[in-house]
Order: sequence, then C-alpha cells, then structure tokens
Amino acid sequence: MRSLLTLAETTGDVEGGLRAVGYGLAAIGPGIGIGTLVGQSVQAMARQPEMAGQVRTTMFLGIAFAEALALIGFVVTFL
Amino acid sequence: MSDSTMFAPVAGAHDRIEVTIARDIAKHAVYVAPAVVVIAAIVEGSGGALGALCALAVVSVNFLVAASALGWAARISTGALLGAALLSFVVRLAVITVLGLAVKQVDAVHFATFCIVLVAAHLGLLFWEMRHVSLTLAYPGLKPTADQLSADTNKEQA
Repeated sequence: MRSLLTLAETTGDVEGGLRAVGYGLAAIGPGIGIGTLVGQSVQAMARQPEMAGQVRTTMFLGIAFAEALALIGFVVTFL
Repeated sequence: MSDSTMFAPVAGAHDRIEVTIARDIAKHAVYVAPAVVVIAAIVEGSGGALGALCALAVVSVNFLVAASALGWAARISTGALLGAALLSFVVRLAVITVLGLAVKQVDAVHFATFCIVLVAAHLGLLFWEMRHVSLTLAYPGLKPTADQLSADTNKEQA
C-alpha cells in the first residue's frame, strides 16, 4: 500500500492513482467470472454438441451480466 | 477434452445466435432511447441528454462487438471461443474506459448521467432481452414469432 501511495505521489495525482488501482481490482472479479463461465460452456458444448445453441445463448447473457460488474466498477471509480 | 474437440468449430456455429441476440438488444435500445434522452434532458439539461445518448450508443455497440467476436470465434473452434471471450472483454473494457474518460473531459456532456445510464441501460436491456430468449433445441436464440412458428409448421406438413 505504501509503495502504491509513493507511486501515486510521484506521478503527482494520489487520488487518480488510487482510483486506477481500484478500477483494476474491480475488473479482476468479472475477468475470473467470464473465464470460468466460458470454460464451463466450452466443456458443455464438447460433451453435448447438440446443445451448443442453448449453451451459447446462456453463455452470451452470462458474459454480459459479468461485464456489468466491471462497468459498475468503472462508474464507482470515476464518478 | 481431446484436441479434436478443442480445435473443432462449435456445432451450430453458422446460426450466429449471439449476433441475433445483440441486434435485438440494440433494437430495444433504439426503442427506449427517446424516452431516456428526454428524461435526462429534463433532469440535467442538454448535457444530460448528450450523456444519455452517448451511454446508450456505447452499450449497444459494446453488445454488437461482443456478439461479433464470439460468433466469429465459434466458427473457428472452441479454443478460439475461449480466447475471444477473454481478449474481447479486456479490449472492450479498455475502450469503454478511454471513451468514458474522454467524455469526462468534454464539458458539454454530463458525466454522472453518462455513468448512470451506462450501467442502467446495460442491465435493463439485458433483463429485457432475457424475456425474449428461448432455450429450446428448435429455437436456441430468440423466441420465434407467431409468423415464424406457422411457417415452420407449414414446412413440416409439406
């Protein structure tokens, strides 16, 4: 934390630096979520190829919902 | 999972299901845009209206780009689908961030309205779209209209 503050102070914008770090942290969760979601969907499509259409529909909506978390992170960080 | 499965195209990839869903979402965004812009204009003036319009455009384009990337990758292989999903997430998020910061610098656009409409439209349009999704083997994307159903029935009978 101290090194982050030092970094932010060096750049001359402590608040902006911390906001950027917070946004980066907020994007980790959706990234993990999308990775898990797509991985499981690919596995499902490999096991049951005839269900690929339904799996892709659900996967696309799931990705969009996980992405909403990242957008909320952006809004909370920069608002 | 074997290599043959990993590098084989996704079954039914020619259906472009994601693109159909994203287009439907964009269509809904066009429907609600006038109401959202008018409400934003009443609350925050012309800056609010511009912010709401920008946010709706960003959300719609984001859905369309995500769908195009996933649909394109599904035609190649399941491995490409994995890569495209994660890479497009990072790239789209970076683009949205840059656009958001650019909007923040423009005085003519109300940034708070942009942010609120961005999240609200993304979630609202998704929940709206969920009502139109059908998860059946015959129609894995959107629910068919009455005309489509009768046309399919006629085909089967013929």
